Amino acid sequence: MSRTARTAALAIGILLAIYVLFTVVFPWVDRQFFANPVLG
Amino acid sequence: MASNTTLSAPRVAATRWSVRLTGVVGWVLVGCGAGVLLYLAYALLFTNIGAERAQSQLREQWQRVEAVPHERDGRPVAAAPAPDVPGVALLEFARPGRSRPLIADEPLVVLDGVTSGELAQGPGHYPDSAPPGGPGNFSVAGHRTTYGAPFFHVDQLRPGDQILVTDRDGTRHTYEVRRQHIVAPSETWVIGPDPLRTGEPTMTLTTCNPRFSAAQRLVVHAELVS
Repeated sequence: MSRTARTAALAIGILLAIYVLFTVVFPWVDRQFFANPVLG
Repeated sequence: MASNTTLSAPRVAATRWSVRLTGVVGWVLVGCGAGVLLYLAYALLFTNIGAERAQSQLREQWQRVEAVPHERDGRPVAAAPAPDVPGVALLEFARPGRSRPLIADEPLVVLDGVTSGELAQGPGHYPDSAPPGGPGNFSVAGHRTTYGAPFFHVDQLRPGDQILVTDRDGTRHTYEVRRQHIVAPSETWVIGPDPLRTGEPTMTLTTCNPRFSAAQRLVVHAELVS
């Protein structure tokens, strides 16, 4: 694997991880612990 | 006098292992720090951008009233949002004698429902509670922080302040704030039919308390005056 390919794979991995964090993990954390104004 | 000490092979291996472990722990901590910073960016920037854009679009749709009078439920409607525009009411706040906006600079569009998807766009109407202006308790939840924080300043409401609610028919109902208190998240009686025990149509706002926490709920009750 060339150095360019490795860098590209790393960049894609980081972007993918950030996407998952922002769309799945953080909304869940937010609902569970911080932002839930609903009663019940 | 120079000392010339040599480490034994097992000790060298243990030192190398220890250095490697320290490196791994260091990278894990860097990762955790980056995660916390990313979460803060998500909560304080990302969610606000989406919610403000959604509220702005909803407000524009609500305020673009149909030019031609139409009918809804067999009754003529003079000025109201088109039937396909989501939302149950427009919410504004006023304090007699104060010209500056209270709580929110622009009217808030209240969506029908309190799921996380609805509350991510603005305040939400508890589906089992009364409709705006109707008998019972018109109850609305909204985020105190993040997601546009529509109820960030709700703690500033005091008895006598007005909550102006425009329903889908274009009718404006005025509620007057009567009480503000803090309850546990399980105390659902506050959104029950008559939390003030007056028998009058009531409105209730609920939001998180304290700010940046969901440990409690800040509750504001208001009574319909016109």
